[in-house]
Amino acid sequence: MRVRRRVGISVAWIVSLFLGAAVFPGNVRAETLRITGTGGAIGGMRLLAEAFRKAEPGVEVILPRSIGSSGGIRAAIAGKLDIGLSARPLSAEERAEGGRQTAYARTAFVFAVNPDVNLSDTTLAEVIDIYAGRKTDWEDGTALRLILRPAADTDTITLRKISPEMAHAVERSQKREGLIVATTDQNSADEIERTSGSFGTSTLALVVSEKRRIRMLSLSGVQPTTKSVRDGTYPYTKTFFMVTRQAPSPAAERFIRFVRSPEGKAILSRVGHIPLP
Amino acid sequence: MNPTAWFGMKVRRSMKTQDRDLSRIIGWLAGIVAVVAALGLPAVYFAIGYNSMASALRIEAEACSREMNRIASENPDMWEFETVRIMGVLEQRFEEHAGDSRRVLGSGGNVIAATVEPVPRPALVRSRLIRESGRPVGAIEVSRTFRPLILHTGLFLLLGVLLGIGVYLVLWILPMAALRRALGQLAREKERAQVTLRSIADGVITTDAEGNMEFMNRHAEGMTGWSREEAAGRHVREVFRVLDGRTGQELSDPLAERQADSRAGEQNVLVARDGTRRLIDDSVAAIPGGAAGNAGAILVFRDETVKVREEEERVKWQKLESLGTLAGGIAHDFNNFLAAILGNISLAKQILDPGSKAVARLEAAERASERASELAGKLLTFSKGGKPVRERISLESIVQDSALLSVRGTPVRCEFGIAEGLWATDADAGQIGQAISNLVINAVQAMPGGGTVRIRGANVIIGQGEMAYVKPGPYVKIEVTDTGVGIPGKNLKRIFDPYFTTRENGSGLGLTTSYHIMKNHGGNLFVESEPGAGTTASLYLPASTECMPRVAEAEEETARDGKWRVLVMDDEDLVRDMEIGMLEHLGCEARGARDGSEAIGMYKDAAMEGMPFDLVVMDLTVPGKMGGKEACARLLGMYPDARVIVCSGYSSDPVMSDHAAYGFLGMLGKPFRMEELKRVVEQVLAFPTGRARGKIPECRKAGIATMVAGGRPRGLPCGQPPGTGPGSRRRPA
Repeated sequence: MRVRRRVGISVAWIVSLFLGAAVFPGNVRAETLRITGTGGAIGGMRLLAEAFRKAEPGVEVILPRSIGSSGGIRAAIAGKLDIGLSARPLSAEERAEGGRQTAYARTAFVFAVNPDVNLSDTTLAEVIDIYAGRKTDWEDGTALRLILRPAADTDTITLRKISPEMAHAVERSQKREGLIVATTDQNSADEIERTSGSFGTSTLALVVSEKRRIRMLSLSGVQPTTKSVRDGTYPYTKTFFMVTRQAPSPAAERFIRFVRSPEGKAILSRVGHIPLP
Repeated sequence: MNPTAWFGMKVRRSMKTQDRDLSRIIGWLAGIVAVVAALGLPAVYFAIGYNSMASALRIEAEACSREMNRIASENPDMWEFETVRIMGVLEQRFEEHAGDSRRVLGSGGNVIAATVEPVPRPALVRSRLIRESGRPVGAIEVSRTFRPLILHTGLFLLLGVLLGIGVYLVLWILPMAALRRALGQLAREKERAQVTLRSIADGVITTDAEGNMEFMNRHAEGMTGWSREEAAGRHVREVFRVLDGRTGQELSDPLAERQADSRAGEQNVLVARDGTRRLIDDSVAAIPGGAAGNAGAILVFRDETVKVREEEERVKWQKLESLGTLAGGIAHDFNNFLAAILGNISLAKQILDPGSKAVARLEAAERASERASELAGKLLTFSKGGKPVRERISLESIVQDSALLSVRGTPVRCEFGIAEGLWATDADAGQIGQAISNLVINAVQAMPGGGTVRIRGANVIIGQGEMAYVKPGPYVKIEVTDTGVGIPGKNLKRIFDPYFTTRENGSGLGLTTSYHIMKNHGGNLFVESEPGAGTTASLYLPASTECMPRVAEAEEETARDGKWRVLVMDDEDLVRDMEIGMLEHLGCEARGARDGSEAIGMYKDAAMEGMPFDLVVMDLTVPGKMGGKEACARLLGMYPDARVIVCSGYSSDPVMSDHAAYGFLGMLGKPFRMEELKRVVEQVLAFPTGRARGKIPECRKAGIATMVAGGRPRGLPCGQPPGTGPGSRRRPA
């Protein structure tokens, strides 16, 4: 008798599962969020995605490899991504194409070296000399290996905006032959990590969030930290945007709200971001 | 125009034509090469540049596609949005080129990324597929404008044009200079060869392989009667008509038969355009070459007519000379005997009573002897003897008198055409009259039914080589033409042979004698005849080139008292006695000597005795002893005023015909009659000498006056029209 009752209960449970699936299909098929873009934001976004999954288990958040700010914007506008990550604001053309941006954090734009380089501080003049090709060796005589970024990359754009001298030096560096060109933020961090005597650019958020083994240099004695960025002593920063269509998916809306939520801001603050209001 | 200059001009004109043709060909070739060079340089540059560009683009597209394959494989879903990485790939440069464009296209052909704006057209585009796991997901397109290539090609085109101009000039100038040198050399060689052909004395004709006329020199023109222009292109048989020397048949193809028979050197007959026939030696040589091994032929021929006629003349003259020598010898001896016969008959007639019956018999004997003497005289005339006794005469009256005399009593009349101002000649008037008479008599006999003998006289100048047997110079030409039966060809060659006659009453000595008369005068006699059409005999007598002589009119009457003393020298007793008898009959005192030495001795003795001889009559030839010529010279050496008469039966001896040159004042030809002796003796004795003056010979008393035969003449001034001076008077027969 007890066996019949267990069998009856099992059958009823299975039937109810099928019926429930038929009546409430959303409860069975999980939502998916595809998020990628600038590599500097990927590390922090991965932490946010994990927290969001816990809050909304029905939403699967996928973070493909970095495709850069422009790629993220275009993919988001094209609908290939639910949220594109960008280190630059939308252009008027991108806005016209239906792009919508949401700034969610800032981070320090940093100069970094391979840990084997005996250097912890630099100056803007030294950086200019390095990009202009006037400084090709470290003080100990070892080779200085500059890791360049593509001309259209946001790192390069940020560098040009520092000063006319820096813009000129960057222009010259673009014409130098034999230099390593890292196409993405991750790729840049990878090259700095594995190249002896390397010098390049990155962000505080990437280094911290991805726990990169590279040394960020203080600039004229100012360490690039969230604090120095927040109080303005460290002047060079990058702002991260979440780009969507004008009508993003509900999950994307919810994810954006999660990022701008206190929980999300807390997560960002832990990995080198200065969350924006 | 000078033929050589004309020919040179023609050769140069021909060479200029060739020069223009070759210049045009070389110009075309140089132009083609120059155009190829001018266009080839930029074309090659463009082709190389295009291929190089295409290869570079292909390699770049290949390299980029590999990078893009990796990007697509690493991010299959989102690779199209990896703008930075894609741009990194697109901005990689293997070489710096302005105007390059690289694009990444999606699977739908949409542009995913591009370096710059599309390059200006025209552009070269190379593309490669972008594959992800082997599946094509897009394409990379590399394009590059080739405007710079076109621009550079244009610059190379300019360089090519300059190069082409240079090539044209080099290819045109250098070969043309070499060609002109070669053509000039060829022209000079050709001109030299042609001028050589023109200048040689033989006729030269060249033909092509078909026997058509190509060239003929001036002599060939003269002999054939065809001009070069008229003959050009005609077959040689039209221009060079030749009769076989043996058969008289015309050769159908002179070139072919000459070459086949190899009969070069035979004397054939060339028939000129106007029908004139010439004996020629001809030879033919083939010109090797051409496709068939025969490029033509060279025909060389020489006019041998003159040479052949000269040879015939020489043979004829030799034959007559031999006969003349024989006849002369016989006639001389015959004359000696006749002299004795006639002399004695004359004496006998003087001795006998004129009414004696014996006188009639003696006169008959005398006539027979005179006929025999005439025959001997004829023999002597055509023999080596018969040397003319020349004097400056005009032929007009001699010709007319002799001709009219010869036709008297016949049904033939004479028609004269003597040109005015006929030149004088130095001739023996009697012999010339005899020659004319012989010719007219022949003409009369050729027209037994009557007719007209046309006698023409003209002055002619014979040029060098113009006539074979007449020396160059001025001549008086006398033509005697009849319209009689003519002379067959077989007889024509023998008409000058002595005693050759086709008439019953002919002597066969007429033409022979006339011929010898003319030859002895330095002239000639030709006879042309065509059976049924008549005969023309042409006499050529050298015109006198010296002043006319003034004949001494020895009309001076000389007076003399007493007998003339005459010395007679002759080795023949009969003759000597006969001459003495004649002289004594004439009233002279005559003495005789057997040879020259004896005569000189007697003359010296008489002179020493104060009774010199007034006259010496000397025989010219004394076998084995001193003759008259030497004796006269010696005598005159001792006694310059001596009067000497030469007497001989050899009228051909130069001493007889020109006795004055040897110091003789007179000449007597044996046999002679009393009258002749009297005349000559009177003439000589009339010659004034200091010693002889004051004596009057018997003959002079008889009132006989005559000219001095062969006397010492005095000349008239030059420019005297021939035949109008006193010297034109005929010597009495």
